[in-house]
Amino acid sequence: MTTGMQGRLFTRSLLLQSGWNFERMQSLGLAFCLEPWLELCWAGQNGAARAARLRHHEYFNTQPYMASLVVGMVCALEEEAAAAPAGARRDQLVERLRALKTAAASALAGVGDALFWGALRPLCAGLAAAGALALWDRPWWAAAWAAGSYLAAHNALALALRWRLLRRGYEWRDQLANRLKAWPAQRLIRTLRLAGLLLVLAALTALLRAVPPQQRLVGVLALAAALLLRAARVSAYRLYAAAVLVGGAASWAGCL
Amino acid sequence: MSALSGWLAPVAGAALVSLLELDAVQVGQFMLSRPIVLGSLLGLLFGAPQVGVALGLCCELLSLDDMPVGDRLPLNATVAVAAALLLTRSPRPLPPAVALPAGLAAGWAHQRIETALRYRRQALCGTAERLVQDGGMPSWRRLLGQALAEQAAATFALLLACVCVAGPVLSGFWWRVPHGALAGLDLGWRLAPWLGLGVALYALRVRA
Repeated sequence: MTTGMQGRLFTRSLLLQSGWNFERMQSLGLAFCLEPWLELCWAGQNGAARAARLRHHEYFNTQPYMASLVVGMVCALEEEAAAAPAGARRDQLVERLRALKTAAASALAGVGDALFWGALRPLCAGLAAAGALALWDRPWWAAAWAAGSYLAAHNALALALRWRLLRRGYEWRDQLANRLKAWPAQRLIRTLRLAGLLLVLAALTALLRAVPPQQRLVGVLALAAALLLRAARVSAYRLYAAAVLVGGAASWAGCL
Repeated sequence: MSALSGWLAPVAGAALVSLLELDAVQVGQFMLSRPIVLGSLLGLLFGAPQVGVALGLCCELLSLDDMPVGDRLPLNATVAVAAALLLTRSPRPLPPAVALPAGLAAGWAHQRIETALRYRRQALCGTAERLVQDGGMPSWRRLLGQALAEQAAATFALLLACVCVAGPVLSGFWWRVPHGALAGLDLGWRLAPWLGLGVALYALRVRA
């Protein structure tokens, strides 16, 4: 796979979820993403090319960033199938491709959700919040920091990983599962979460300094209540609605 | 943007947000649509950076633990922060304490609209598949363009309704509501960052 082709696939993978729907989820985006590669691999084999295109219109769903790895692997396996002589051997390779694609998509969805949504996103939010609250008295700087730091921190890791994973998927081929066992994903997730935790604590310290002293106790009590109620599976939006109701009730009772 | 007067600024803001909202799921996911990013950027554009950061921070932290896993579609925090900010910057501005719940309601409404759009998009799969079966090639520009255009148009229409209908109605109404309700909204606004930080700590604590 040339760098130019990798670039085309990467650019198209940014639209993986553009046709997301409940029936086949990311299949439309995947078919669009793979189109240049399938055209190259199956050139001059019209019937087989059509079958190759059709198999990527089937149900597909994974974490959108980790999809790069699946795209790379599928490219390698399509190339292998296209190079095999038509017949039983090719059918066998296509069946293996289908099975590996489904298995990889499911497995990578779990890792990707934990890494990008569960660790990187809170870390970036903590970074943006801590800086913005520390710069609260200088609003233009606070806004610039909040937007700039979040975008820089997230995309520096996410875009680099998406680009590299596409190549890795292509190189690892059907050995993807074995290679992933050696990938320190859990350690990375744990490190990012711990860093995120420290940044959220820094944001809390900055908030304590930013608000008037008489509001601090109420704020800390609200934070403790949020921690307890989240543990009881109460959603964040319901916590906010409860705060509004408590305020209304307290005002009605003459306590506020 | 701050130089634009009257209704033009919020309408132009709604148009900009309807494009940036595509980043949330459909295009790229560069995080331009995250509430703290979008809130801050809109705040800078509208000359109200502190309100932008405050609304962005609240929506970001409250939505942090609401993950788009599988076919789960969370409340649209992008639309929530954009609607709230546009309501505070319209010709009949609302205070942030009132704009935040109105924005969250808009985010919830967008979630419903997007669910319908996702069902609607199923037809595109069948269209593309039929074209391939017949030996042709799907017109990706038309298929994906249609999906993106529908999403952007729905977001724009919702934000326009918020700014041009809900905003004036609420601005004529909110100061007439009982004092207790206003006090509740004010407390909710003041406590939202604390609640959000509690949500963030919980999300990171249980998995660290």
